[in-house]
Amino acid sequence: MNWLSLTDVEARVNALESLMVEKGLAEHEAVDAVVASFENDMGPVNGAKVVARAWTEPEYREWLLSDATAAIADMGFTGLQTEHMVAVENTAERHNVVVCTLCSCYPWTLLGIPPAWFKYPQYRARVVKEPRSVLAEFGVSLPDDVKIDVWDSSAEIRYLVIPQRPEGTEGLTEDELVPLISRDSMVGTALVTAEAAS
Amino acid sequence: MHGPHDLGGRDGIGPVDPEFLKPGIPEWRYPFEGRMHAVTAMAIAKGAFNLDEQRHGIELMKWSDYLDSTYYAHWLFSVEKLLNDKGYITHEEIDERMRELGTPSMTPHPTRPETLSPFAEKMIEVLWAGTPHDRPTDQPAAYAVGDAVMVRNLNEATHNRLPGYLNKTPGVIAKHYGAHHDPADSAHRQVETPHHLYMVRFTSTDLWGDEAPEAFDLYADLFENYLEPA
Repeated sequence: MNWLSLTDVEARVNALESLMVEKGLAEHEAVDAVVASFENDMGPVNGAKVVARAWTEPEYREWLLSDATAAIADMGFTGLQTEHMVAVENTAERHNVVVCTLCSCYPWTLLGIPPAWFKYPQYRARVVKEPRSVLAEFGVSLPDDVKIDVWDSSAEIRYLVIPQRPEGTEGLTEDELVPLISRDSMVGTALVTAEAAS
Repeated sequence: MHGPHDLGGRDGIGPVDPEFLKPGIPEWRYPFEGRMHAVTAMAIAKGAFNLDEQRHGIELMKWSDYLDSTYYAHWLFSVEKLLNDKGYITHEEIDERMRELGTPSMTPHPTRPETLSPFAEKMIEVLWAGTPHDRPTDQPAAYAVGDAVMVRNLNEATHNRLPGYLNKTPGVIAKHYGAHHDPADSAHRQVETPHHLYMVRFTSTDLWGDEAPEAFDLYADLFENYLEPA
């Protein structure tokens, strides 16, 4: 078994699933169902809805900042790895960025599966030491007077960054704001602009 | 333990792979990734092992394998080791099955089956119910918001959730979460022990020295037994 070979890993996962089904630890169709659930029902649009509501309803924003778990659950986003939430707010003075240096902790049901850059060693090693430089590599250049706060998710608490609402969006409804809010902006490696997120 | 996963602050690991910064990449880039994720959740739901055991298993990978393998190879390594060591499926059975099955053909982005078996329904419920980690305790909290604390010089070779770069670093309690289940006891003894959990704030100079290249604050969630009064 070559752990560095993508084809070996794929073949071994296949073998493992086959054996797990035989031994009653898994079912093939249930695997399909779980994968489909993650891919279709969980994703950053869930988090974007939370952010859009925080931007348009000051009371919700306060609730989100004081008890994110309850405020996020209120919108139906509960579940694995989203059990304990803290929301941190970007302002003109402060920018937040989230990492899990020890593994890849991330609020699955709220933001979906984490992107590759979040899970691999490079980001995890550097962002707790040189966050401003790492953010610049993501295309985020912050003025020198903006303070950076880095959040290392080392226990079961998961973090949602509330990005700043961009200028020029004052007339948009909550639903119109949702497509502007990218996954990366809710982890802290992007800013939100008035153009739709990719 | 300060294994290959304990990466915070390590130098020389290199820049983020530019491939990963291209827009529109799916979070699961290969069909085996979602399937590995799903079977792991199923094994946990079936009680074969718990999440803390699964995390710890990854920490036991060979350093070069950990650093250079594709991400879900980590999950495969850990789940395979746990299932082998607990007597469910041996490494040799997997070797043999790999030979028998040859090159797999996995469906990318499977659709949800028309009807769900009871187990599939249960798994979807588990996904949305989650498994909260807070626990009641009668133990009073040792620290309060605003207290100055020092991270202990903790170097056990067993599982914990203390990033090594925080060892011996002074910080300030920013929040007290109540008690959460201790990951070490869960990983090694499969028991639930409540320990008070705190959000602790650190400065970049305390972390990286007076010559630290950048100025920022860093927050980490640390259990009470990782801390001592400053």
